[in-house]
Amino acid sequence: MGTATAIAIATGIIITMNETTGLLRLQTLFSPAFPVGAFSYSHGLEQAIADGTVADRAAVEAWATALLRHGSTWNDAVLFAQSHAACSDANALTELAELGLALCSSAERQLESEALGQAFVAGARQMWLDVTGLPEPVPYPVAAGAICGREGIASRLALAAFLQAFSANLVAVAQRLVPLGQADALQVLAALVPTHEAVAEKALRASLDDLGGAAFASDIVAMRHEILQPRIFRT
Amino acid sequence: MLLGTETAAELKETASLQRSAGEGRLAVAALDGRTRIARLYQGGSAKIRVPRLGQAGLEAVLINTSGGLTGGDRMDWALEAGAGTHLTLTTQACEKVYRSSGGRAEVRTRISVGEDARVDWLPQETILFDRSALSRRIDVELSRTAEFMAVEPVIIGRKGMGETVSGAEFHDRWRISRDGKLVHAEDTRLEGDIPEVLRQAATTGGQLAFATVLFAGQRAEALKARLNDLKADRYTSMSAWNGKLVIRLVAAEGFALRKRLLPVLSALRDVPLPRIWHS
Repeated sequence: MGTATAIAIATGIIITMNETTGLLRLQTLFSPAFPVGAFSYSHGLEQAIADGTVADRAAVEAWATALLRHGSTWNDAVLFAQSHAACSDANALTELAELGLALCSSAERQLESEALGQAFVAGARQMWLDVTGLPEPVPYPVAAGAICGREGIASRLALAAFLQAFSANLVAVAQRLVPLGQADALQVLAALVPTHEAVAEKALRASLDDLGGAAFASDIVAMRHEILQPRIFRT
Repeated sequence: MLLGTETAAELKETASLQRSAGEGRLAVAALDGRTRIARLYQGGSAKIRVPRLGQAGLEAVLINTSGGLTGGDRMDWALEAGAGTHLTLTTQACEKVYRSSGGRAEVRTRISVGEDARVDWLPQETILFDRSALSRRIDVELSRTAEFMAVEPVIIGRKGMGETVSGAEFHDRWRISRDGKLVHAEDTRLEGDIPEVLRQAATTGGQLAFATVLFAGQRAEALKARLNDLKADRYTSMSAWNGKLVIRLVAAEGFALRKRLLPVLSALRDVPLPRIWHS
């Protein structure tokens, strides 16, 4: 209740007990403590930093923004929204999982999406959440969207939290490799808040016809990362 | 056709361009170890030419006789390669997508590839002009042992001609299934303030030409080894996994892109590229 009250005061939004439960679940599912191991994956950013393409705070923010608006994260947002809506339809989830995996543009992208999806399901199972009948393998946005939907967590909140967790992970990679100081990292995350909100809203109104982007350079660094030496991250 | 040699004639062509529709269908079958035409249909602005090359495989050149695409135009291609055939598809010219005065151009292509057959989808460049709108969809059905290779090079305006694209709408969707299961999907989408989108380091860093090459088949990993000399850099790279090889390229403009593409496409084929690619 404390969290809900604080948020209600800060935003003027009235949050019910049910929403509070959802919010607390979300904080767990997308906290760094949740055992998806997202910290092992850089989504190609490690290579972009090694190239010098991403070398400061502004570049990190621009990179994350471009992925959200024109790249793989936009596709993930659409897949999350669709999976949230279809959370109890096993056939629809199977098709979404197939599409999500087929959209992966390289070996490491698919490894990342499958590994995070599998770990998300395993973590959710530990929390006694409903993970029955999910497709196997399941890409991360489909697993996260479906499980949040089954928990009754509002799609707008859940998707914004999912996107923020993705960006926070990119920022953590940059903190370690650019390196970016903590103040810079927090400023990037603060600057990305409106984009997370806007992209979540847009993805919730979108259909599968709205998939697609133009983040070619991001795809290319993800491919080149396969042979990057030395490397810290798995992707 | 060379990139960037037509101007006045082309402007006239744009002005008189009518909304057009075309439908072309081609089916090929293996006969005595050679690939032969089994059925051919051409309607509206769609034409299919099959030059005699004296090879075992068959090459078909797809032609849009209306000279370009604009809002409201519609092209449909259906291409069927029977068991054991080798079919290479290309286009006679770059596809120019002109300013739309309403609606978008739609191009739908359906390809099916039978057992032990191979189809190479190698159209020349698509050139997007300012305020153009194109929605394209390619659906490919592969049999268990089929091989499929595809490239779609796209150029945003022609830099050499001083043409700039400030806004456009482009959506290119590929759906590749094998034995009824989706194995690869591509969705390229560009819309809104194009210079701003492409200025981003994660998109093309301001470069105006890009292409994706796909090879789907059991030899994907082996074919990747043929590309070991390909210089992987900020603008080109590849990945092979699960019976797929995907290569992404970006380049400053169309000519530079074609120069990068030629050795890649040649290496992935066991026979020479269509002559049109070298002209």
